[in-house]
Amino acid sequence: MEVITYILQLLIIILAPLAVGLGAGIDRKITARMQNRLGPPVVQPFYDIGKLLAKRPMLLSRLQVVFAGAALLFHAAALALFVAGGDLIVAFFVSGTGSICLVMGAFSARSPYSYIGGQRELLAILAYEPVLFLVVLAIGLETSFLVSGIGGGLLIALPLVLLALIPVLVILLEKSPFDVPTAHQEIMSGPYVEYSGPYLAIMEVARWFQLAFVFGLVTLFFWSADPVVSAGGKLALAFAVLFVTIIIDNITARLTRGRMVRFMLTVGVGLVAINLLVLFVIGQGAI
Amino acid sequence: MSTGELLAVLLFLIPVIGAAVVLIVRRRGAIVWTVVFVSAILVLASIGLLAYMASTSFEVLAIGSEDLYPMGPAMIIIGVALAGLFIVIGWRIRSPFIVTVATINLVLDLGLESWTDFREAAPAVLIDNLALILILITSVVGSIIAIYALRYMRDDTHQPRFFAVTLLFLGSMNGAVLCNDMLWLVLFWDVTTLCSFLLIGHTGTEEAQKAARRALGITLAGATALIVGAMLAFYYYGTQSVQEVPLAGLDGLALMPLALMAVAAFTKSAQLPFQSWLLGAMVAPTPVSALLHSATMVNLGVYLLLRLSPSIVEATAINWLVALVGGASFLASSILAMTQSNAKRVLAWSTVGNLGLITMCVGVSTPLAITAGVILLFYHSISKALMFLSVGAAKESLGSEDIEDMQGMWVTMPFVSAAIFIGVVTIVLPPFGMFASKWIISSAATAFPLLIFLLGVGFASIVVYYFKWIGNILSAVPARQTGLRRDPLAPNYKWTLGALMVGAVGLSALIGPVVRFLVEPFIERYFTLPVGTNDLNLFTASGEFPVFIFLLLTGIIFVGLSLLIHPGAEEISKPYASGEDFVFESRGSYFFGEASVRQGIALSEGTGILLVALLLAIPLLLEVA
Repeated sequence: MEVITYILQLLIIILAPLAVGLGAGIDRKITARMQNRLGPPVVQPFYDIGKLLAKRPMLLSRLQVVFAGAALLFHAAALALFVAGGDLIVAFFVSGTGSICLVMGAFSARSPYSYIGGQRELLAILAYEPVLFLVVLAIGLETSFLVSGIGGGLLIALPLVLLALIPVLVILLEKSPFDVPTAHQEIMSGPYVEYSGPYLAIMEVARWFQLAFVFGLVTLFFWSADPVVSAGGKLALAFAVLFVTIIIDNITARLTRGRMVRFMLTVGVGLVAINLLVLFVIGQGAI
Repeated sequence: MSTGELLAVLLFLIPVIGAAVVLIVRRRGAIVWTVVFVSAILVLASIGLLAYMASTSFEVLAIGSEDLYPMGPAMIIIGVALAGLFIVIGWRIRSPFIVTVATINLVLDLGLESWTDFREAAPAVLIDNLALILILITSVVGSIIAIYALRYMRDDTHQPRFFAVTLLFLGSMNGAVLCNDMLWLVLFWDVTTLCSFLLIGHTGTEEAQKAARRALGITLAGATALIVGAMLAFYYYGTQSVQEVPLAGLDGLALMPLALMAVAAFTKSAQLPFQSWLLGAMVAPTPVSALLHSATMVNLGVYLLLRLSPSIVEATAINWLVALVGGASFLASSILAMTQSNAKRVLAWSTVGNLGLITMCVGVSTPLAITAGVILLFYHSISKALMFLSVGAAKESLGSEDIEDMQGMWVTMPFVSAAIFIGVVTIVLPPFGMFASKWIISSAATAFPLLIFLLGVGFASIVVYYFKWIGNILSAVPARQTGLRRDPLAPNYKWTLGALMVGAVGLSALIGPVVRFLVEPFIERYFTLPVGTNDLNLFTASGEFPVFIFLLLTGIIFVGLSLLIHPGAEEISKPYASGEDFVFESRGSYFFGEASVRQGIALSEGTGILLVALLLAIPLLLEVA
């Protein structure tokens, strides 16, 4: 029985980022349809990775690649910890370490666009990390910090916390209005600009792992005793959240970095605060 | 006298004798030997004390004042002489404030002495694990800083005075944490104040003297709070022993001693609204900053809070205010640090923030939080010393301590860059020691949900200001890189920085034993143990942290990747610049202008004053109500 659990967990760790890749393909398809285009095939992200891997490696400095590899491994470690039922706070900080590696990679390349991208990515971290941290702590406050100890009931208890995750995902998916760090039109995809070929593929897969972890947090909000219903519901919830971010992407234009930070630190943090306050008041009333 | 008692006395006496020797011999060569000798003794004695305590399974070691004969009368004479000295200093620098405060302190001190019949509390000296941690920090980290200073201050014209005061500082710090008698504590508290005043003003410039005066004023006023606290403690608890402060059942004005001692701790640990002296102290030479921030001075305040934590935990009327002062200091300092481009100022704000976290831990008042506070205190001192000493070494070559001037330092000074990198990583990132305490704090803060909002924003700000700095260091054209071994750095710096680097990383790997042998015996005396360890992992009731596996993973990631990746010359390309050709000059963003920073500081100080006023008002209100 135990062996089967391990194999299952390993499978999830491998499949989750692939599912994110597939999600990215679906995202492109839906976006294209919303804009009256045909769009690429759903598996286009995988073709892209394949093509990048086949290219000749080019780089600016060795450190840049060290940090790319480190970003991938830290994001993967965070996901592994999450899937294995480990401590959410630790997983959150390990994932954060992966994001920092992305910034360090951008800085170590010493190129103008990359440098600006790194600075903006730091601001993005300042914007989304507090909200993500509060989401994690709210989940822990309500149930347990160990993923394996989290049962059901999160969606009913913490609806606003789930809502706060949406702008976080908008930033992480590099979508309008908060695609500040990578802003293609202004700074040529910022922190990624100096990565090419296989190294860009590493960065892309690292991002998939990171998104898999954050979408993992989303899936925690649905839970059922029946494993099939539970898995189906989790997938549906994750897809619903993705769909909302796609709509937001298509109906908004990019805001400035200051607006991004202010929005997240007021509205994002505020949503969690209101949710916890309501829970507290209800808890007091029950007693 | 047992071995342990002998070692304890040595830890205090040897630096004081060393200071006297330095003042007498005055020659550079003799000073070097004295400092090295005293440092070696301090390191050996503190580790010996640890071994001795371990051999008695960490029993609390108590020494009565009769064993320390004739310490009792001597202490009174020294205390009076010191208070007199402060009055003279106040007179010389024409500061009515300092003269007034020093006179009040002298009168109060004498009043308390005669009121308590010139008796010492029993036991006068008490060594438990909390004291042991502080002694290890002061003796080992402090010695490393003193040895570093031998090189850093080599061209200074007042070397005898500098090193005498430095050694006295270490001795008095050890003395302060050993004392259980409140009056002796006040005395050593004042000696550290005097030492910090002399060291901050060492360079003698107008700015340095102003900063020294400010530090003296604030910490002397803190001592007044401490003495009044001690008097009220004698009145309400009938004891001068820190140990015997009641653990429960305090109400009304009986809470006042705790509140006053907490305020005294805030002044020493540079918590809001008293943080300004620590920021001003940045004008002092780098080893002084390192001493103040990591090995001595600021630790004393949070030490007192942790020492009183079993009583504060039960004082539910005021402990939330202690938590808020700490939380506010943490949040405000983290945000303000983002606006600074001077490396030492960034570090200064970061110290205020980390001590704020420890203060917050005491205020949160769960066993879990207090454990986190002790762990943070221990690891913070190592990493912060490493950061300051690295900045000093960088300044010697760059002639500046501005972060923008460190651009591309990775290529020219790889050793110092690696030291700063390791310092930052051990402060911020998992799986190092300070992170372990942040992890515990995060789950402990859920006992007081308002604090998690301060923590969330604060943690993210820390990432921004430290990694903006690291980014600047890494931002280099990788041509003609100097090898790590060929970094033109003085051997002294390589050894001291290297020792701290090994210490910061190695002790993180050993966090299991550190928690078990250093932290838990203190926590266990008062609380049920909240954190478990099997030497490789840490556990709490609500989570677990596989420290060792992650440390191994981190090591493998960075070492492995840098060994694996060896690009050929044909793989190196040029940066993308839209086809344009120009020299790239970067300039980091510091978000707010000077005016906004001043407003921010004023706002934080206002909040601090409000909180402290409330802290002192609540016992009165409770008494009236």
